[in-house]
Order: sequence, then C-alpha cells, then structure tokens
Amino acid sequence: MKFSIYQNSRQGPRVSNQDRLAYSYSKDALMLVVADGMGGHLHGEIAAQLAVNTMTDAFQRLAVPTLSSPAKFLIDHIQQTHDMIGHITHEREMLESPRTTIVAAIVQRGLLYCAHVGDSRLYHFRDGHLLHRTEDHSVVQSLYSKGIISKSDMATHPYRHKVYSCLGGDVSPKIDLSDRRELMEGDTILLCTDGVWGAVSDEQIKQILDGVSIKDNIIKLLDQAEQVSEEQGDNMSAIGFQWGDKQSSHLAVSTISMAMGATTTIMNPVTNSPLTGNLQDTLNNNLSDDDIERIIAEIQLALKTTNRK
Amino acid sequence: MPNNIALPTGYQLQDYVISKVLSYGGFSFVYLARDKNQKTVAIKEYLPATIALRANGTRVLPNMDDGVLFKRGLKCFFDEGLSLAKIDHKNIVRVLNFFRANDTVYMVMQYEHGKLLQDYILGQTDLVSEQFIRQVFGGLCNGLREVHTHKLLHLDIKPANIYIRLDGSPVLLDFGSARQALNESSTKITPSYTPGFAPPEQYYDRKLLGPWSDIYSLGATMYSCLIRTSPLAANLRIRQDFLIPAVKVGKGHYSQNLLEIIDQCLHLDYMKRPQSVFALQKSLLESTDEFKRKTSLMNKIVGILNRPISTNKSS
Repeated sequence: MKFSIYQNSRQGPRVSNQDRLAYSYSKDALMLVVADGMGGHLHGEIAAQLAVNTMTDAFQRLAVPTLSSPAKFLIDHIQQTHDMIGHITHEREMLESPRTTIVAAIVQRGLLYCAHVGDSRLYHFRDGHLLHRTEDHSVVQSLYSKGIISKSDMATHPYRHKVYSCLGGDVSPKIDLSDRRELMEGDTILLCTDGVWGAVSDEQIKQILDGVSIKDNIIKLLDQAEQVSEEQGDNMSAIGFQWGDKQSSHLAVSTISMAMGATTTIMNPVTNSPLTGNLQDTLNNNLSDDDIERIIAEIQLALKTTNRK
Repeated sequence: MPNNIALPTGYQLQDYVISKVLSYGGFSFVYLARDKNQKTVAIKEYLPATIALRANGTRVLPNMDDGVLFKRGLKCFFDEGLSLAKIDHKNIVRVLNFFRANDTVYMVMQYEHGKLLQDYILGQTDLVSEQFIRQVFGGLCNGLREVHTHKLLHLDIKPANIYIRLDGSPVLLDFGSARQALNESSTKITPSYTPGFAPPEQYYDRKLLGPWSDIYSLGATMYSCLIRTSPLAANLRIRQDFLIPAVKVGKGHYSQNLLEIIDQCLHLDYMKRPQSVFALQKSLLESTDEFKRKTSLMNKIVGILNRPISTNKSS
C-alpha cells in the first residue's frame, strides 16, 4: 500500500479548538477520522477526542493487517463512541452530554469505505473532478432535499451549521454508510470539518486539491479557509491523502515493509489532548458484568470450535 | 507483596477438586486439580497480588481504589484465554475450559508430565546436548508458527515458560503478554518483559515488534542453555555489547552451525535475525540430518567395535 497523506488543523477565531483528527494504518489498511466537537455544547472536545481514540484504538486492535468487514467496523465503532459518550455523561454526572460529528474512512484492498454522522465531510476527487461527497446531516441539507430551499440558499441559510444527527446526546445517531468506492492511482480523498467547507466552496476545494503535493494543498486549503473566516469562523481541520505514488513524492508512505501485526496511529499533534487518566481508565476498563459474561462466552465458543477440530 | 491465600486442598471448584498449589506468580495461582473423570488438570486463577485479596473464604475482592487495575489485569487474563482457546497444537499449552467463580476467573489447562526447561537445564550435570537443543527448539518453532499464524506474538519466551514433556517434546506456556503487541493503546501499563530474553525493540520501540522479536527470545533461550543462566539484557547490550557470541561460548561443545544460528537470532538489529520462525526452524532441522548422520555413523562404528561377538547372532 502506498499513499501520501497530510493532516492539519487551525483554531480560527474561536477560543478553543474542538476538532480532533487522526489516521492509522497497518500493512494493508488505512483509516482516517475527523471529529468536530460541538461548540454549543459542553466539552465538545471530549466527545471529539473520544471519537478519534475509539476509532484508532479499535483499528489498531483489529486491523492485523486487514479488517474482516470495514463497513461493519465503521458502524459498530461509531455507535460504540456514541454509547461511550452516554456512559461518561452518566458516570461523571455531567449536566449535558458532550457531542461531536464524525467522518471516518477506511481504505482496504483498493476500496474506500466511509461513514459519517453530522456535517463533517468526505470528498473524493479524480483527475480534477469531484466524484463523490458525503451528504450532511444538517438542517439545510434536509430542507434542500425536500425542495424547500435552493442550492444557493444553502450556503447562506442561518441554520447552515445546525446538524440534526451527532454522537452524544439523547437520540441515537443516524450513521450514514456511503457505498464503497474503488480507488485509482492518483485519486485524492479529503476529510474536513464544516469550518473548511463553510469557508471555501467545493469548486475552490477541487482546484486547490488539484495541486501536486498533498501537503501543500492542505496547507493552502486551510490558509484559504482561515483568510475567509477571519472574524466569525469555526475551527478548521482537514486530512487529505493521495492514493498510490504517482508523484513519487518523498512524503509517500509505503507499508510494504511493515510487520503483519504492526499498526501505527498519527494523531494530529495540534489538537490532540490526551484524555486525562481517569477518563482513559473509564474507557479502557468499563468492563461491566455483561462484558465479562460476553468475553467468557466468546472464549467458550472458541474452545468448542477448536476442540471440535 | 501481601500473601494471598490459595484455595485449600479438596476445595470443590465447579467440576474440579483442587489437589495442590503448583505455583504463585504474583498475577495468578496455578493449581493442580482433578476433573470429574479423575483426570489431572492445571487451573490458573486470576489473583493479582497487590491489587486483590481473597476475602473471607474463597471470594476474591479487589482492594478499594484498585477496581480499575483489577479489571485491566482481567482483560490481560481474558486476552490470554482467548488467544489460547483458538490454538490447538501439540507444542502450545492446551486450554480446556474457562469460567467465572469466586468473583474472579479461572482457566483450566491440560496438565503435562515433565519439567520446566529451566529446571531441566539446571538439573543436568552437564550441558544439554546439541540434539536436545535442535529437537526442543525445532518443536517450539512448530508451535510458534501456529501462534504467529493467529497473528499473535508470544513476547515472553524464556526457559521458565517452556515445559519439557517426559518424551522430550516441548510445550510453550504462559501467554500473559501475548497480544500486547497488537494493542498499543494502553501505554499506561508498563509492558512486561523478562530481562535477558526480551529483544531490544520490546524495550525501546514496540512498533517494531514482529515474529523476529519472538525469534530473539528463542535465541536467548538457546543461549541460556550454553551458559546455564540468563544472557545479558538487550537494553544493556545496546549501550555496550558485552555479550560473548555463542560461537565463542559454545565452541567445542556444539557445532559451528548451531552456534551461528543462535548468534543470528540474537542480533540487536531485528532485520538481521531470521525473519520468520519457518526460516529458523528450517535451519535448525535441516542441519540435524547432517548432524544425525555424523553421530549415527560414529555410533555405528562405536557400536560395531563394542559389540560382543557372542551376541552377534541373536541381535
């Protein structure tokens, strides 16, 4: 597997950066995740960090070196993040549940899998064309889909940043799994938060990402977004990767020499905030009685299968 | 370390009756027990020393504040159980049952007659033979290949974790640190390793762990057969490598070929070790033929020379 990848984030005019992003890869699989902790709610960054940690931890545990079902992996672990946020809210007696959006993508055997909740997006470009973009779970998107507002209204509508589905909160998330897509050498994938696409139009994004180096492109994209949203903007985050090594870039990652069991995660260093000890413990060790019973049942089943052989 | 009380002899633990305590390792008790068919089994009980105590009678109670640690250890115990449950191989300890009781968990394993490699090495008046090393480690390679096929690493191979059956065949025990390689997220727990047998990457760069890491430990274990103690730890070797190569230590006692294999396994640079257990196994067993042929030829001559003429006909 060969690819060039770059991620970065800008705080913008907000008092804190509640975006979190990371990517992980094994010898034969790559995962990217972007989460936008929701500012109107308490501790958005906790929910976002949780989302990124849950996804990367699970990937590291299970992608050895491939996932048995990338689609199921995405759905299961996005749901798990939601459940865990609920658990923590309850356990720490928080007044309000922290919330976050999520968009996560996996590349395995040349196929791209993607799932999202909320309005963080994935874009798929090929030869300077936009092939696919995820559809936001936003109020304006649903107004547009119902024919109530026009496409041009969407960019200016006062509710353009309001989402109707997210992780955390009382309602179970609507996890949207995109159809799996084939990747070709030279394809570019972008995952970004609304701080980016709200400030830079799809057309501009497409042009910027057509540049040679993915690193330069992402920096340029964030520069552009930052310029536009100088006063009233959001946190801006993006991860982009170019599939294959068409540019023979020195930034290209080749996983060919990786060990079978090895995986690695790169958290975006700008925004990564390691969860505090207690919280991490809750996450790692919320082995309930049910969990214990479930694991024992799993071991019993494995024993039966093995002993039957 | 607070002294934890073992389950008493004669204690009925589900379908098993405890016969005696085999060992206590700080993390767990291992008991000898009999199942309902009077078959002897080994039962491992999760009971981490500093974290939990056996409360009145037999129940296990985590200390206050340590509930989280107790569960973390429990996870490792489960990981070991799950890893082993999937493997059915004559050179890997066989798990028969896994259950919950006394507020902790138990793993029932097949009991084998024999002794630990560690005791075997020290129990001999002389160094173990080349044939013994090739056979035992060739067998271990067999088991380890199965482990690696399941995408697991053992990461704690050492003479105290290898059991030698009465027929001389080896069994790999204790998968307590297996799977750690695949779950790097919980960096808060210092990963366990045994000085002398752990490869440098286990100390410094766990990202580099791979089959070659178990191969280092196999090499270190073979090396310990030559010196009858642990080899110099990798973290010390990295600073200044005072480890005397096997080709020097074992010269005269063992073939050059075997000693070179050991040195290769013990390379600090993981790239320079045999890259798969299969490769190692091949080199261990391939030259056995040559080795066997040599000894058998010699044995034949000795045999012929020693053969009393009178028994010639009857034999």
